[in-house]
Amino acid sequence: MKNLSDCRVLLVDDTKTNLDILVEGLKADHKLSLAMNGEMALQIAARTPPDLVLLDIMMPGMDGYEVCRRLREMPETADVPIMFLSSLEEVRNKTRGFEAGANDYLTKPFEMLEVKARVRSLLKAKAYSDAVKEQIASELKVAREIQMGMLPHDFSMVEQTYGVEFGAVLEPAREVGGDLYGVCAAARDRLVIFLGDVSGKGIPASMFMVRAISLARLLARDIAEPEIILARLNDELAVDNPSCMFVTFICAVFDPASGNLTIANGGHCRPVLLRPGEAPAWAVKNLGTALGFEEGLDFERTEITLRPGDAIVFYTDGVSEAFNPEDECYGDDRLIADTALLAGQSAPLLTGELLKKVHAFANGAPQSDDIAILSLKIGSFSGREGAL
Amino acid sequence: MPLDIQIVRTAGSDQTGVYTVKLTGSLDTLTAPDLEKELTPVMARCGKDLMFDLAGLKFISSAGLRVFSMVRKQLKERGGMASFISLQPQITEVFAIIKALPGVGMFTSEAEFDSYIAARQRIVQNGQNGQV
Repeated sequence: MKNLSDCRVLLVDDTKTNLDILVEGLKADHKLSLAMNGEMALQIAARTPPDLVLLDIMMPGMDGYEVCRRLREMPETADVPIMFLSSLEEVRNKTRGFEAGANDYLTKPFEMLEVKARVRSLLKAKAYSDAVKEQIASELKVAREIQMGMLPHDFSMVEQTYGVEFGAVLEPAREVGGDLYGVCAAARDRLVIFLGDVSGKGIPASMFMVRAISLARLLARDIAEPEIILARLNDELAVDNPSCMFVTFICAVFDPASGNLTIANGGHCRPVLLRPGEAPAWAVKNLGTALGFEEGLDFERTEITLRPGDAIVFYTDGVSEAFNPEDECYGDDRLIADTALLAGQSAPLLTGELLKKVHAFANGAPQSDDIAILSLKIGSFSGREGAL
Repeated sequence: MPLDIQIVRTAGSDQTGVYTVKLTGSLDTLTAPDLEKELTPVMARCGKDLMFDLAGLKFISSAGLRVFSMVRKQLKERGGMASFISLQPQITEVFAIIKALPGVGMFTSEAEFDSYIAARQRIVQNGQNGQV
């Protein structure tokens, strides 16, 4: 936790005498910055963010209320404690001060002992809050690394073995998230691909994601039919699930010799099928029910035959439901139109370029959901002899 | 977009009433905890069934759907169901991933819901009278 003597206090008052009294009282205990008007205070706060601001209200130009509001809008000072020191002693002035974002209000004339006590109290609270935030940030960083480590990154072995090409990306909206994907080389004739999206965001979603991806990997090794993988995964997730978390999950099993791709969908966005010379199409017809709600569900099976050059794009709704600053949704129509433009590209390029198009559409609007894209493209040959 | 939650007791007493929950706005990560909190006392008093009027609901995220799935699970355990009426097209689309679950009823209007309940009561009464 930060030592109180290392904390910087910004003193803002247009009367030099007042500043002198405050400097005299506080200089032995804290680092100090001084400003004699609102504009100067904002400049100093932006350049050297303080740990606390003592702010006069009645000043020429920008008054203390406005300075307080602007400090709250600046990321550097949004959480910094602000205490008004003012001769305005009516309740309505104090109320206005708190509404502008202040943490404390002391009327002039003040006792220096009381100022010092309040300054220490506010700085201690700030230091504690900063320490907690740092600890959470540090733990989330590690959690993110663990979560990202659960996703496949190097597809080269699988690509060589099965004659396919992959492109993948995952961008959580927060430090950790609920999107997941996986590729499992289960047998010579069986490459299992899955992608999912857990309800909600953040830590709860990430913990359910870890549960789902771990189970999916285990089930994918032993079960040949994607609809059975989904049914078993659903049964596992539905028990001991008091918070009713759920995951939309799509699973596909590829046989490189025949080119058959068998898909089962548990409530997930429909993947886009791109065939050379054809318009993009949905690879499956129905959404199906998401996993985790209820044991004993059945899932539909769809079979398609992939030929060299065909590609299939799996994605989460962070793509199709990306919003721009005008609150418009990216939507299925744009997704189909954009993937049509990217047809014929390699799987990594297809993935990366689609992500760029979604970002370009969002045009700087905050990312509202986790984003995952996994593209599979069939190479010019099918599985090699002696694979696995 | 905020979420407005109106809970209306349409019949019965405070202890065992029939309730309709009217939602207007957006049910998302930010507003779902509010709905969850508001529903706690309602779930204690609503008996087997609860109806959600979603005519004013413009957006629902998976966090919102999770709250409905909790209600569905609890009501199903009591032998009842969570019913949803007047869904806008974009909400119907999201409901596709839960509509097949037992304990979920989707109706275009209150009248359709009432007909369903009346038919269900007739089946129960006929069953009690030994008829099928």
